[in-house]
Amino acid sequence: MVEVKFIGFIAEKMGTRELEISLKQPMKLKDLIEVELSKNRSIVLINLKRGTFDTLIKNGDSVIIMPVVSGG
Amino acid sequence: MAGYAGKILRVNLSNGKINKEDISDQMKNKFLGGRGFAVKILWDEVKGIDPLAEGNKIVFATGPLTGLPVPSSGKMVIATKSPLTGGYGDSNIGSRASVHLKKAGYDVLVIEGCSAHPCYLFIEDDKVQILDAGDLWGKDTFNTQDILEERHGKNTGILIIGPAGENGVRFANLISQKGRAAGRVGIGAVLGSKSLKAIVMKGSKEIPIFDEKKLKDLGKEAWADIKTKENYDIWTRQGTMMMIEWADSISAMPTYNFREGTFKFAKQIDGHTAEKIKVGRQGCPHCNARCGIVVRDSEGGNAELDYENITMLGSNIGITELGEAAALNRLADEYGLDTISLGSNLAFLMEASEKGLIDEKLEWGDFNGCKRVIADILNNRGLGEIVYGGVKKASDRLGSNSKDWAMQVKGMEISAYTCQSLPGMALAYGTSPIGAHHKDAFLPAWEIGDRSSYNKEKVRKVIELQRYRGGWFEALTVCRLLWVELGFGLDWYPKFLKAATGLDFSPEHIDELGDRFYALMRAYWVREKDSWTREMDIPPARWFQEPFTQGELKGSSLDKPQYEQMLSWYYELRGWDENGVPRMKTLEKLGLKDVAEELKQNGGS
Repeated sequence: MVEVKFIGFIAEKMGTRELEISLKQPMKLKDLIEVELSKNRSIVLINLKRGTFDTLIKNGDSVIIMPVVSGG
Repeated sequence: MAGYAGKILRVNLSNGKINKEDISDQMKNKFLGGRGFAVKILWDEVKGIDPLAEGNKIVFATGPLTGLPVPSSGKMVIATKSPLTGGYGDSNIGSRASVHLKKAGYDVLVIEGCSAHPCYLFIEDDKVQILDAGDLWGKDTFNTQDILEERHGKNTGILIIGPAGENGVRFANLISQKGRAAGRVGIGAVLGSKSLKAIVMKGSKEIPIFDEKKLKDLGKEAWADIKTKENYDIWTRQGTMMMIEWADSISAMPTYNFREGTFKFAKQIDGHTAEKIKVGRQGCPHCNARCGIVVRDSEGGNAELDYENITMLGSNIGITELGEAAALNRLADEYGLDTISLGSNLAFLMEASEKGLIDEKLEWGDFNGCKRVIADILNNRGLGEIVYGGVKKASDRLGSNSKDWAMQVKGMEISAYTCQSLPGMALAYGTSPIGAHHKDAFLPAWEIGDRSSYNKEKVRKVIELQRYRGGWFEALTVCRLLWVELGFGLDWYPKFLKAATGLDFSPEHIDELGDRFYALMRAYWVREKDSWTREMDIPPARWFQEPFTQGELKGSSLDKPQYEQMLSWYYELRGWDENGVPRMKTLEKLGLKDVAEELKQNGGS
């Protein structure tokens, strides 16, 4: 099972804040999640480490896709 | 020069004298506005005095874009020698006050001296009056706002202190429009020491503009561009409250006095929950992305929320319900207490109680207990007496290693990001020019993918952000949030400035301006603090010695030697010596030769 969390406007684009997906085999994040985002305005974290939509995802991973923010 | 009202208004409360001075073009070119004007005036005029003595001054400074038809130009910088830290202190506020001050004909207001009796200042264009405030003294900021609006009209800018400022609480602030706040550094206490309850501003003059048509066209285009940003919709619904979910998910949310970075009850206090109890919005003049979220709190009042307020008065003290955190937030605003420092001081007392360092019991999450302590703080009694001067002084008093978990830098309580796994952000807090605040630099979004590294890239990023957030935006004086939160382009601002004033500012020029501010603010600290050492740029021991015990980053803590290395790189890149003191040649290069000479007398190198 892969846990995917969407935060802020990305959750609104996806229509959900969380997804759980079971994978038969590792696959790239972009093949798992389809969302159009402006360049440099989003962050992908895989197990709290920087990833990209090209990162290979496997069961057990936790993914966060969040906006770039600046803490007020 | 266009873009400026052109005058400094000085009001001396000791003798009632009112002076109006021209601002030289040299001052405008070298310091631009806002923070630049403020630090220059304090450096020149406020030396070696007790912050609550008659000799301290308060500078209210607008910038060349304040009040002009460009996005989020409703800001003002307020600065003083801080009674909380003893060093340079400033804060910015978005309210009608900034626009009215400038339209009244003044870029800067300087308050000097002390009144013998409670008073307030009424500025109506050229007419400046010191009026009696005997009937207002003791009233909270919300009541005072209503009374002064009824007396002088709603179309006014009003800055008010509450009972906290009147009673000298060292983290008392200024409030405007029932929720807009300024003065983390204790500016409210300085107004209180001068018996100045409020300032009411009413301006009706036109601000001269270098190329009015161009500026109006740019402004119109910019406001339209802001609305296209993909973050725009949720930002205008949740404001900075959207940060709670974000910070909790990356273990950066202050929890139980910054012990942890995640909070089990985060969802109960986050932006989505805020939307459910929202009753309105507040914002700054000229902003079409207003971010002040007003909710109905657990006691039936209306509270304007921010990420910092709600985490410091929520997760950091174990309050699990948003309505209760909001009620504490509102009480702080009514009394004129800084919410961030209040949350840190309450957490300090809770931990002291848990550890048996004080006899009184104050449990984590004790809402009614917090209300009692707030009343005690205002009256400098009971538990309130311990934290009346902030957590640093409280830890000096309690001893027993409590300084390790008194969460402050330079005497100012850390704002709401815990850094056990964010070394770049820890450096940003360590080197913030007013004490531990996030205004000048925010690193988590940038360093999040490489949290364990301590490298020069992070140090360069801190300086780059300080130049823009702490220099450029604080000088212009406009809100940085459109840029940093919505992705509104930085390239707009030199165009706005050119159209407003005729001044050309290149990126190199912007960097130099920020470096000049930083060197001068640091020089101020060094001059005013006899005991200045590099230790004052180091965060508390908790972040180095007490790893997270929960969350995905369990076991993480900062590495002290590597932090020290980053701090040394920071000094080197800034042209400061190994103790963080600007070198003479650095000051001279930045056009601060007079500062270099004065510091040399204090032993500068």
